[in-house]
Amino acid sequence: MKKKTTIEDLFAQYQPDMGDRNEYMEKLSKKLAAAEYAKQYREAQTRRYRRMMVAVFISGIVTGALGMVLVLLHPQWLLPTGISIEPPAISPLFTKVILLLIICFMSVCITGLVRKISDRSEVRVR
Amino acid sequence: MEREQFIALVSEEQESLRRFLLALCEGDRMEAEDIAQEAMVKAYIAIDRFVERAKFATWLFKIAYNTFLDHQRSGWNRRTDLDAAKQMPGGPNADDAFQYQELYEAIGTLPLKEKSAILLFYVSGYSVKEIAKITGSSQLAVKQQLSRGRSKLREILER
Repeated sequence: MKKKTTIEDLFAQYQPDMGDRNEYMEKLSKKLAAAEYAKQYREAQTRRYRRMMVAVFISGIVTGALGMVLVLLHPQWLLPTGISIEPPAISPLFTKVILLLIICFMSVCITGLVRKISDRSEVRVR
Repeated sequence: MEREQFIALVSEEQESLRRFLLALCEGDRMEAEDIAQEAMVKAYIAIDRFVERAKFATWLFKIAYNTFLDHQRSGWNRRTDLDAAKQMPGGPNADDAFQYQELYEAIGTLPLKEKSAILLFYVSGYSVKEIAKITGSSQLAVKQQLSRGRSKLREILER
């Protein structure tokens, strides 16, 4: 008569041959080395990209600020020659130029900021 | 964690993990080995996220289980019987598959969650709490899965 197999028997006998342990670990080690190389490469790329974004952001602020300072110190540079401006009176053209510069400066800063944020979130997703 | 440290930890667990995956894949050695390798590489890449106080084996099994689910979702194992037969290894592994045919057939009838719970409990020797952590289910759910799985297996074995 055939003996009934219990669940415990079924699993107790389960000892499949998993091959040579050292050979397996050697293969795995090679795979891990390759994975590490890929990981380092990706990390280096991300670092480079992040540094570039920071540089773009800072240079945006610096050039914007410098531009503003220059315009405020020497408004005549931006105006056609022969037009004299009295210090207290600000010409409409000057106001427009300043407004334009502020818009440019803000757009550079915002672009840099947005790219920096998107870069950070991309890194987090990865 | 250094690579050597990781390898030392994995070396302790790899056989148990591969055995579990082999049973989970119902004897499909190629798929099981593929998932095991992928899981170990994933674990290595994510090693910074491993909390030292957590049990390494449980963490590794969780990654392997999720990798298995990904494979299932991607339809990796949706092969025809003919494809499976073509990929059947020869030699001692083929004997293995034949030897454990009864077990593979029995667990093949169980739904995935019950199958996973049963295998983690009986093949890998995990507790209900650890199984819950690995599969991302509640302890109560795992108990129910084990109970349902056991009665289904008993039915099959009594036939």
